[in-house]
Parts: sequence; structure tokens; C-alpha cells
Amino acid sequence: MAKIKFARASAPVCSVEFARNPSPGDYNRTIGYKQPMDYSVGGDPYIYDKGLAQENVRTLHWRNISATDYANFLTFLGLVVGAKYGFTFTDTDGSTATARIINPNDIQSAPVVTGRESLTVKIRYE
Amino acid sequence: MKSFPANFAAEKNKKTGASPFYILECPFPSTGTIYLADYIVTTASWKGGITTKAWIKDWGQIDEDISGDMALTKVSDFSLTAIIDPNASPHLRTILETAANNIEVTDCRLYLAFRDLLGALETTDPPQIMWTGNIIDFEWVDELTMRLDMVDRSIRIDKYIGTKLDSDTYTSAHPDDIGKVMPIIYGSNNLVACLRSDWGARTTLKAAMTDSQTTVELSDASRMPASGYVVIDEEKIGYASKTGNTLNTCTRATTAVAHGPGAQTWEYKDQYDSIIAGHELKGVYDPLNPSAYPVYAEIEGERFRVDSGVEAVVSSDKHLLRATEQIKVKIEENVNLNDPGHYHNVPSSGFWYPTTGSSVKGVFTETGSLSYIIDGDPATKYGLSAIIDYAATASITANFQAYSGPTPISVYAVITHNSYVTAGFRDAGEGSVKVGSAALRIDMPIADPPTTQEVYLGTSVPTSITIDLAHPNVGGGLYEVRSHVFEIQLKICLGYTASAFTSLSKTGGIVSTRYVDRFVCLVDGYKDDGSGTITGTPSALIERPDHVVKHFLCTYVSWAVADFYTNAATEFGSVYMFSIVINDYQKIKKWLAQMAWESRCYFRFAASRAELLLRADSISSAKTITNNMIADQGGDRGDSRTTMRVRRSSLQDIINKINIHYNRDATKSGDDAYRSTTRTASDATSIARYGEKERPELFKFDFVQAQTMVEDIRDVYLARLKDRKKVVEMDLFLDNSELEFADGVTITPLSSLLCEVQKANLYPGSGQEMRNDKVHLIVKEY
Repeated sequence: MAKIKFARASAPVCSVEFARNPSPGDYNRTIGYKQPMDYSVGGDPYIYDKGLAQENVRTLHWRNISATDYANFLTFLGLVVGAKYGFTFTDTDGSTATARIINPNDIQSAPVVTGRESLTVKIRYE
Repeated sequence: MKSFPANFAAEKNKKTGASPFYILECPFPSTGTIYLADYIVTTASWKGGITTKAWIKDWGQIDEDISGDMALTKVSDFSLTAIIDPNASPHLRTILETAANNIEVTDCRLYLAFRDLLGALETTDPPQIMWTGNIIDFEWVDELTMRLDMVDRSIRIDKYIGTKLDSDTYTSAHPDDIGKVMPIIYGSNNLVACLRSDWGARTTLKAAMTDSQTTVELSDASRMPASGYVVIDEEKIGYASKTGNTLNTCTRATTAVAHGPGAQTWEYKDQYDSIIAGHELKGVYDPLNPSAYPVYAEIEGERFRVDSGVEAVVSSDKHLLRATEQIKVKIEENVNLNDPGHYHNVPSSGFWYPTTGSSVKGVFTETGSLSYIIDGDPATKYGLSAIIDYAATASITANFQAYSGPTPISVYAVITHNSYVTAGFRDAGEGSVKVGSAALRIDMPIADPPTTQEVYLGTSVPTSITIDLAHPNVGGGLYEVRSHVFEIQLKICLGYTASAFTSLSKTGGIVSTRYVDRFVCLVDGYKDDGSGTITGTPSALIERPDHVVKHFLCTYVSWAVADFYTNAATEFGSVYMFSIVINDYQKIKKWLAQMAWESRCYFRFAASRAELLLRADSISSAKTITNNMIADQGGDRGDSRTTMRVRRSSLQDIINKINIHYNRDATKSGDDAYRSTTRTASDATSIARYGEKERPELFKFDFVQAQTMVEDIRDVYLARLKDRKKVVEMDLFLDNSELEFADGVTITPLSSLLCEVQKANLYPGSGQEMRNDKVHLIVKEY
């Protein structure tokens, strides 16, 4: 199983690879097409395809990462300036995709034991 | 109802799987055409293959009608929010602020499209126009966002029309006519006061002058040319110069005579022009056939028939009445023009009384003496009455001795009468008096106390006329009908003639002469072109309401003939005809709204055309709205709460009593201009329910002369407006996007209520905001 990695090859060049992946259940994938849906009073559904591309959002929650990983992530976060720069996301299966952090204003972390941190990052495929 | 190509219709009817989007086409003259959408779309062949700019943030909504007044033009507006893309060059703000883009008059079109129809199907099922209008305003909401306010093409009719007679172009125009609008005329039988565009200065002598005097002192010589000729009384006098109000170095061009102070003085010209209309007319004065298009000379409010001395000419697209001499009227009989006893417009008249050979027939019981109707005493009457339970008629035939005087210009029956039913049974239209042959039958209003009314009979004096009394017994029941006839007379009107100054003679029967104040013509208005573009008949008179509106749009708004639609042509038939004289400076939209109202239509701009839509006697349902089409309030939760709302129409919109003033004399103004009024029509049930509701300001018809037409309109409006109706609102989806204003629909959840669409507001959907495309429908029970 590949390790989750955020990497940027062009300026600002930076990367972070986490020593461990989120635990099962802490890695959520959300896929949507933003297709509005209504019902008629008679119960018929009305669903129009408004032409938007598939939206692919990943919520990554680590319950317990090392202080080194945490520090590396903060360095990476500073270089990509939150959501300003996109990067290459390496998934647990080794596949890659261009992505961007979409919770730059609300990246949650907390010390869980001495030298260990929790972290929640939300990214969106582009 | 909009009509769509087959595949397009199938796509918009899909409840699931449809992929609608919108494109706003903006053909800016400076920037070029841009296509706005809420995401980037490329077409293969539509519009030559275009790529949209994804600048639309929110499409907003199209509100089909922002005017609730029943006699105003229907207007729709549309607002949207767009993105200012700082990386675009030019970006939207720059485009909108470029003055040369003429945004206020650039027609922008909103298209509904389906992604699944792009490509090969673009040819057969291209994007469809849902709305057309102009950007009338925009606002920076923030650095990256603009709000655009748009209105349908009504901005093109929001302008004044009419050319005013100005003193720069018409230096010899009569001062009283400077600033007046050159008439715009449609239809037949229009009485028009001509504008004196080249009339010559008129003044009076300030002091008496001898037959050898070489200076002439005038009351006001300011409008006289520096040198030329004047005519004083009937003498032509040349002058070489003027100083103040004095004409110098005068030469007597005709036999010199002395003149007294106050003598009429007129600038001598080669011709004197009056503008009849600011355009060419179908028919106007013909000296060879003056009875068809009579011209009247007006002096101090009196009108005299002109038989010669003037001709109609077309000059610079205007229709003129041209006289080559000053026109005076020969007064051939010693009649005092100020005598209140003679009739206006008919300077000489006499009454012709029935002979004793007159007869009465019918089912009515006679009371009084038949001789009372010929005795000339307005206090005595001949009565008829009957208690009836069925429709009944009676008639009086009045015989007259043979007439052998001069040929009249008009003959009227003058009847003093009243008719009524017993109190408590009086309903609208129950009694009537009719006069003349079938072609001339004119209903008169019920009148109690008695009224004297005239009925035009033509230009020949009959030897008998029949006065019909009728009671249709509307609604059944037992009625006591009473009718009284006080007097029956013929009024025989003789006319004077006007002729050119040079033919004037003071001998014989002529006792005085007067200069003409102005000319008044009876004319036919605009005619169609040689191809029959408007009416289908080459050079035909344009008088049917839809033809008039179409021609009006084409002429004064540069509207394309093909972009006009009406569903009223059949209903109009040969009964609905306009007679219009526009001589007031008003906006086009005011005239169009008035034309629509006076032909019981709506005028509106639809997606791609101007429409004149009939307020029909009945409508048929074009579509059935079921619960399976009406949106649920719960949206994607579907909680079975309908978006349908039902209320009653406004009490203020109720009209249950109507009489229409019509047959307007365009030479007059105010309420006095209306020469006819319909009998009052009312609805007793509505009055009992809501109280008496009238809107008299809506029922002064300037464009209608025909009684049949105006009574039909009166009855339709009464039937349509006398009751409060259900007004139903609901949200629908794109499968009802073809619905338009005035369509008939059946609302299944309301016991299949038949309704007329009042609004069909389109709300384009949004993927970003997870909002489906909807149609907010407002309908009114028919």
C-alpha cells in the first residue's frame, strides 16, 4: 500500500509524505455531480444534468501522526499557501491526481499524546 | 405557446436525464458578438460554431409582466449576475462600459439548449430563443461581480413619435399651429384639422387708408416679408420695404380702393399649404368627387363645404391641402352665423314634419293621439304600452311630403322619445328605439325623462321613415313596457360653399365674405404599399387593428413585418376597424397599449416577436397541468406539499358597468370630442355581489367609430371583468417551458379548472447552486 503524499514539482517545489495512512474509516471519498433534484407533488422526480464535471472530494483524518509528519505538513501548507497552489496527490493505491486543499480556513489538528498529533485535511480533485 | 423542434421538445419533456443550459447572445456592435453561459460550451455548427464564456454566475429570473394595469402594454424583465474575469480581455465590465456597444439598443437573446442536442442535432434542433431584450442597466456588485438588468424590447417603443410643425422649417406657418404634431392617420372617415404650414401672415389695418396712399400701417407687420404683396379686403397691394409695422413704397396691383381701420390684411403668396397628415394618405379631397372626401373651411367655429379652389398634393411624403389663392367663403344667404338656433357644422337646416298619413302598427296599446308627434309641441306625446312575457316590437311609420329644395349635405331623423319598463324590472338592453332601414338601424339608449336624438339618414330626403320600438324580454318574465314618442322630424341640412378669392363676387346672393380660419378634411389614412405587405392587398386602406399595429410598428419602430404575430385576425374580420388620428405628442407604447385595449387585445413582446393577442370570448386548453408536473415544496425531499397557491383576483379589477364613449372628433379635445356613447351595459348579479364598479377612464375610445365594434368590445369586457376569478400560482419544470402569456391551460388538481396564463416566469437552473430549472406559472380562471 502506498503512502499518502502531497507533492509539487513546479515552484514552489514542496512535498510531504505521511509515515502512515489514515486508519480505516478515517479516509472518506465524496463523489458528486451537483445535479439538482426535485419532486413533483405527484411524486415524479425531476433531475437535470447541469453539465458540471464530477466533483471528487477526499477527507483525510489522521488520528495519530508524528510530530515530524505534522511539522512537514505545516511546512508544505505554508509553501502552497493553503488553497492557492494545487499539487499531485498520491492515493493509498498509488494512483495520482491533481488536487487542491479546500479547507484552508479550517485545518483541524490537536495533540493526542506527547509528540503525536491528529490532523484533518480536505482536498478536491481538479 | 412556444413551438419547438421535435427532438428539442422531447428533451425538454424529460423529467430525468435532460441536460439544459442557457446561452445569452450579445451582438455588441463594437466588441462583437459574445456568448455568455454558466460554463464553457462549444457548438459544432450553431452560429457557425461558438464557444461560450463562462461568465454567468446566476441567471436570475425572467418576470413576464411587471405591469398589472389592464390597459397597459405587457412588459417582461430579466436580471442576472455575471463574473468580471480579470484575466479576460476585454472583460465584461469593459465591454459594458464601451459606449460604442450601444447596450441599451442591442437585442440580446437568451437561448435554452440541451447538451445532448449539441453536435449533429444542432442543425435540426438548435438552441431555442426564450427571451429577447436589452441591457438597460448594470451595477458592480463587487470587484468580481456585476448585476445586469434587462428589459424586453419595449425600450424601442418607449419613445415619442410625431413630427412637430416648427417655425424654422415652416417660416410662414400659422402661429397657432407651431408646435402641433402633424397627424398620423389610419382608417377611414377621419375628420382632421389641417395644420397651416404655409399660410401667410395675417393682420389688420391699423388706420384707414385712401385709394392713393403709398404707405400702409398695419397692426403687426412682424411676420410680413421684407417686400412683397399683401391683400387688404380684396385689393392686392405691392410694397418695396417695411419699417416697423409700416409697409413702404406701395403700388396698387388691382383697382385701388379705400380701406377702413381693422380691414383684414393677408400676406399674398403663390400658394397656401395646410398639412393634412405627416405622411401620404389613401384618400383625400378630390374636387371631382367632393362627396367622397369633403373638405370644410372653418370660420369662427363654423364649417362650410369647399367645392373648389383647393387640391390635395403629396410633398416631401406629407399630404397637403394646397390653395393657390386666399380662400374666402361666400355667404350666399343671409344667415347670422352667431344664431344659436342653427346647427353647428351644418350652417343651414330646416325641419320636415310628418304628414297626417303616418301610421302605427304593433302589439302595443296606443294611448294619446298620433297627431301629437307631428304637432311640434314637445309637451304632448303619443304613447305605446304593453304587458308582455315575450319579445315584442311595434313601429311607427312617419310619412313626409316630397322635398324639392336644394340638395342637402346631410339629413337626420330627429326623435324626441323615452322608453322604459315598469320599475323593478329594468334591465340593460330591454327597450330600444330604432330608426331607418336595416342598414341604418341604430339602437338608442333608454331615456326617461325624454331625450332628443339624431340619426343620420344620408344625403337624400326620404318620404317615410320607420321608428321601431323593441323589447327583447331579456331573461324572460313579465314586463310592462312603455314607450312615448313626443316628436319626429327630419332635419335637412344645406351647406355653403367656399371658393377661391378670385371668383368672389359681391353681387347676386352673396351678402358677405370671410377669410378661412383653417381647413378640415374628411380623409382615409395610411395605405398599404404596392405589394400589399401589411394587408395582403396592394394599396389597400390600412384599418383593421392588427394591420394598423403591424404597420405602426414597421413604420415607427422599424420592426420587421415577419416578426409580428396576431391571433385576432379572424375575430376582427370586417367588423373591427380603426379610425385613428394621432395628433398628440405621446410615446409609442402609449399608442400601442391604447390600440390593443380598444381592439380587446393584449400587446406584448414575446421571445422573438411582437404579439397582438385577442382577449377571446372563450379559450381552449392548450395543455393540462397535473400534480405530476407541479413542484413539491420539499424539493429533493418530496414532502407532498404543493407549491400551488390559489387566491382571488383583485376587487379593484372588477368592472360590472360599462358604457363606452367613441366616435371621436379629432378636431376637438376633451370629453366633448366623443360624438357617440354606447348604451350602458351592466351585470346585476355582479353589482349585487360586489357593488357597482366602473372604470370610466378606461372606456373613452379614440380609435373606434363603428357602433357594432364598440358594443362587441363592451360586452366582452363586461363578461370578462364582472367577476372575481381564481388566480393560481405554481412552480413547474422545463416540460412546461413552452407556456406563454394568454395560453389556455387546464389545472387538473383544481377540478380541471380552465385558466389563462398571466405569467410564465422562467427561472434558469444552476448546477453550482443545485437548483433545477423552473417555470413559475400564474394563471387566472377564465
